[in-house]
Amino acid sequence: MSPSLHLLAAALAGFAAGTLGAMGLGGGGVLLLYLALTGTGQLAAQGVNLTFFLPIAALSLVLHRKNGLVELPAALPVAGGGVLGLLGGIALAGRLPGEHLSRIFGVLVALTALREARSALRLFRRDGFSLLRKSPPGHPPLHKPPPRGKNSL
Amino acid sequence: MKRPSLLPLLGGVAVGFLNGLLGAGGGMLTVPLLEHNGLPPQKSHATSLAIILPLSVLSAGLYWYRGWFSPAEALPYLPGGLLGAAAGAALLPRLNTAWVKVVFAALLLWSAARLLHLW
Repeated sequence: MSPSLHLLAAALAGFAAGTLGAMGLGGGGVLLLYLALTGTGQLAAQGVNLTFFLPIAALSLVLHRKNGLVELPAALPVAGGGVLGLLGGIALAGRLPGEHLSRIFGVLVALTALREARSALRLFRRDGFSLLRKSPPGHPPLHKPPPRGKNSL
Repeated sequence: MKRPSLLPLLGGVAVGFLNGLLGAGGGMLTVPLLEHNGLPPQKSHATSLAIILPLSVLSAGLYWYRGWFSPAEALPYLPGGLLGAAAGAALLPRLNTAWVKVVFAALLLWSAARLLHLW
């Protein structure tokens, strides 16, 4: 691929990954999928995917925090356990051949496909088959804010 | 009063393991984990970021330290990614996401078959 074509493809892949990510699809693996399928080595692809995710996640987190949606006390124990698991995961990633890693990733991708398909079926049953939402923007009935009260943790 | 449970900590280990091993996918676990602990869906999605972001910073740092990639390799994808995130956030309330999910699921199945060398 020529350098300019490579840049164009990268911009498009980034755009698609950003769009799907913001819609809550794909668990942050869309760019990794593109990289893994277009010949980037599996470990390098994973590093790029992690880095790509950082600024977008940081921006979303700031916005969510402003809206009072982030519950830090609930996040802390999960993040604490996460650090332990992460060290194990990275140690294993360094030992496995890239070929094995990409197969493990393939299984995760297949599971994600099933999850999205199931979620799509549920949405079709609830909202019907129209392409656009019927409610005017600004009055979405689908995303009611959670009730604030002593039960909302 | 609820007894403190070990589940968030153990679930966290699994989340971190995926993040370190594959550089993706932790969010698939954090959202259901937080919902299980009583957070409503919207808060679970937002709070999930507060878990995944620091873990990803740490993972990316270790990947870099081990010489597995250079952060500069991510630069060409970032401008498109930020624009895409804005587009996705704007589309989300207007589109029936079920259709997006159907197309996306088909694409994922095809990709999984390629990754697993099924053809």
